[in-house]
Amino acid sequence: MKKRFAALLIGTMLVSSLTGCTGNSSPGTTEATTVNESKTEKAGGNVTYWTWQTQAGEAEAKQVEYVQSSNPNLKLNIEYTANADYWTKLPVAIAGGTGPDIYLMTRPSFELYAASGQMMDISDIVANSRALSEYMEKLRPELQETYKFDGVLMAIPITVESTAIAYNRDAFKAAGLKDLKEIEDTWTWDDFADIARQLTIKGNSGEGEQYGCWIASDRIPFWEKLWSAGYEMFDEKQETCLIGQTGIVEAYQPLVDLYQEGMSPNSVDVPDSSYGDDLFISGKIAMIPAGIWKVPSYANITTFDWDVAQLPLDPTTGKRVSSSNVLGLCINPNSKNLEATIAALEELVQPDCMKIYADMGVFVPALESVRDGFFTMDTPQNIAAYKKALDYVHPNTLTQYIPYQQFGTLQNNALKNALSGKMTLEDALKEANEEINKVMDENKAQFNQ
Amino acid sequence: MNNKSKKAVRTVSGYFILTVLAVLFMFPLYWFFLNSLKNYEQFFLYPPKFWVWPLRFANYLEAYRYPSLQFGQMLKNSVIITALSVIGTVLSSTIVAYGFSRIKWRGRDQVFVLVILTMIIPTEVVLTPLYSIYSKLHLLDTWIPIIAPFFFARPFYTFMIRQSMMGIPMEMDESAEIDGCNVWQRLLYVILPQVKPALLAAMIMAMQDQWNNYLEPLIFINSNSKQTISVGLTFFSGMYNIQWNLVFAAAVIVAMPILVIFIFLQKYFIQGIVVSGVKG
Amino acid sequence: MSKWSRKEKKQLKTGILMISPWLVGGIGFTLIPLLLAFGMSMTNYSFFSKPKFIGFENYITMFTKDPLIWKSLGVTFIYAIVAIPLQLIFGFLLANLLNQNLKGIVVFRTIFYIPCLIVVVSSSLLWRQMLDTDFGIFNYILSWLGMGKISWLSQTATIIASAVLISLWQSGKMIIINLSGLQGIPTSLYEAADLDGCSKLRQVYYITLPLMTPVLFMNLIIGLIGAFKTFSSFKLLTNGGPNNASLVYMLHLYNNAFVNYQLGYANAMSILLFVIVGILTIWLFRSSAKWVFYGGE
Repeated sequence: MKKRFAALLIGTMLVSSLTGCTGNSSPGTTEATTVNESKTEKAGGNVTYWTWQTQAGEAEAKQVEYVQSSNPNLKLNIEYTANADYWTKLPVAIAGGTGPDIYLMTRPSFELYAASGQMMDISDIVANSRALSEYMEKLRPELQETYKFDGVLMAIPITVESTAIAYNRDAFKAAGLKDLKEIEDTWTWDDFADIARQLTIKGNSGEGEQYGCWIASDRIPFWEKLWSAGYEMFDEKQETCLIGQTGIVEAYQPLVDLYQEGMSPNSVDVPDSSYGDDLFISGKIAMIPAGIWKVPSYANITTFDWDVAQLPLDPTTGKRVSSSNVLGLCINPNSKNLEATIAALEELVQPDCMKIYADMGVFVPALESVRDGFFTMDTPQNIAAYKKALDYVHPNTLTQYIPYQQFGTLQNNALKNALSGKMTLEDALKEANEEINKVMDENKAQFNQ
Repeated sequence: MNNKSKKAVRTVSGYFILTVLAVLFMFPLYWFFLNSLKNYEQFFLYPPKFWVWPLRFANYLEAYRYPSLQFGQMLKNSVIITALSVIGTVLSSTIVAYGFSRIKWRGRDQVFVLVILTMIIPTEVVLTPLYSIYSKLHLLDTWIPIIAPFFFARPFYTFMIRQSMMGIPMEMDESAEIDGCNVWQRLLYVILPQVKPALLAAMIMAMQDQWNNYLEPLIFINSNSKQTISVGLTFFSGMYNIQWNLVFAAAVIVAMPILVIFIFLQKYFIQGIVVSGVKG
Repeated sequence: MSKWSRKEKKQLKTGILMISPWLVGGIGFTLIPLLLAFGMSMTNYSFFSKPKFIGFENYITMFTKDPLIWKSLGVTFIYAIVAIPLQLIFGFLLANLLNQNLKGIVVFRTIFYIPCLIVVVSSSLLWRQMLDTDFGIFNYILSWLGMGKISWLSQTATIIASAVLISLWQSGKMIIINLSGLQGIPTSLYEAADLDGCSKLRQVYYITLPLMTPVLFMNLIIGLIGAFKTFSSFKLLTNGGPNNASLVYMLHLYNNAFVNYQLGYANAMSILLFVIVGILTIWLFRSSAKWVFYGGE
């Protein structure tokens, strides 16, 4: 009895010395976040969590169950908003002094929100919390760094993504081509172009038409291509846009040419980027660049056999890079119940809680040890392609000087002009580059006033 | 031609034109209902089919039970909010319309132009200032920002009722006044019965506007449990794709209550309310 | 010194009392936010910075450095010119047709009203699907008739046509208003005209139209305001694309406010809209004295 008590005492002293030694800690966090053997000290209260992932309702509900059963003092409320409205509601709420306690953040918007004071500096919070610091340490170095702004940690990464090429196996078989996943380790974008040409079948308009690939103005595969070729969209300080540089033009030009040869359906006049998915699902496209989030909707396909293969390699550099949206959880500076919020976060990052995402096939957790559940699904057979792609991801970093959507629109319009032939790719990208720099300069001035 | 056959021709041609137009109108509606019974893949069929089999009624259940959506709760919220808004409209818009049409006071018509001008202002414009105001009054995440305007005579409905009131001869007011009716009695017993169609139309309009109102609930309400179903419908448009079949199924469910009420109120739109002159 | 008679004073008091709900609401929900919006328009209030007073700089930028302002105004004007007359005529004609004393007229009225019950989110998705170049039912029917495919949602002209079509399909609201106006016309007038041997057409011209002018005037004002404020259908159909071909003014405003996060600038845009529509409205009101006939005066 005495021995056990002593061990307990020493253990508690050690832990509290660890947490107490980190200098300036935010008020009230030290007590609440020390993980005790006895669970009686856990902070309680209402915690509001905002997300746009309306299709993940079941998984989120399970997470709430987990959080509330391991800490019965907490009440975690998940409030959903559709993606298009989320980025309207969030800044309005935070600027108005209200808003959630925790909210989901997407990587491209991170810099802007961090620089505008919309999230809390959590480096001390994480340092003072055993659960949170353990979680962060288990992540890969690039994930540990990715949500730091000016070297300060502002959000906790929770999920990652990767991209690959989804393809119609029946179309390949019909053309007598090797199944794509067999060559996925060595094929390049030149091979991609060749295959696309072989798989484009022009019938009379209507039935029988098939396109080799889908090329659109989205970030996929524009960002993949430019990163694979070794270029970045912004300079190191993220103050100047560089998408008009020659290297990037050269990297993307082959796809523009392929589009203009007619190997892709019209992606310029369509109202939505999801149009490509619709065509793929209806069997009209042989190959389509697809992020891992497409897998659930492609799972609806019943009329043909499909699979995925890793991205092609860049013919010059021999490398390939997958864009990756790393989602993170931020704390609202207006949060009224910080202790409870931190307690909720501590439960959310537990491996068993993160595992829910993987097991339900909703997201790939940032925590590697619990990812496997995601990759055990039957369709597509080669789901491992996405797993392998996680080894060569580039987080989708932008800059604080232009909102993600505004950047996206300018990029999309430029690429659309190039694809449709209205402008050369070089002119289009240079023009977009100038416009983006203009916006960035104006916003920079506003930041610094 | 004698009168009887003239009438017959008129009836037949009336039906004919109406039917042709009705068919054209119905076609998108048919498509709407059909969409709610398809499965996901059937949305991308080419050539499009005018009929699908089997009909997937499970869509309705799936939409209703969608995990992130508190469908039942939001539906209830919408009903309560809409009902209150209609009541508010009846109370405030009639009184204000009366004040703008049956009482001669100086500057009345000029001020009325101001009423119209306030209709121009799009919601998006006043949204952020209103948000700050409600935020300071701690009225955010309640239904008050959404219902309150209806209790303060929203211009549109007031305009409508006022126009209708302007069509009533002033002699009616005057004779009622002579009979000893005060302002309120005149409103209640003389004017109101005569603007029934306009009032009814205003009620239907208010009901429909509030039921479909999207921007204000989105911005002013934060909790999903207090949210309206018109906002809830957007939950089917995910970040990367739209759950087509569920969106339409949900939209059908959402359209039903108002439709039922409209059909029920139809019988009050009686043909030709006889207003033959000064009431005795 | 009393210029006003006792009666006038009393009328004024009663009048103000009766319209007090609107006065309070108007000031609280409209005037004050409008003034605040005007105030914000004189700053560079944005996501990136605290507001700083910049005077009329936003307005100058609007007129000199933002080509999309003119583009969006152009698209909006074209939409307004096409939509408003069509809506007026269609609404009036249909209301007359639905005013007949035929059996089962209730069914018809319901059919024409239902479309406007469909929330704009879903009706836009519906039409987007029907107007789809490859999968849409419209082009499919056109191909039956031997005509080529039309890219409905890719050029300004066809997008505007589609938006007008959708607004006509959902004009149930105006039809109801017209219907209630028609029903306010005493049937005794028509009966008297019948006795005089007046043809139906002339009855419409001499009885219906004049007595409907207040309602028609309201249609016009509502239509004007609605056309300039048009937003949701364009946002959900094409989101202003492709490449700003269908960028209506409110969509440009929305983008500036909630995508580019430049609220000061967006507020300036809304003040401009208010001024434009305000001038048109006042002009219409002035001219209404000449052609609107109020039975009560």
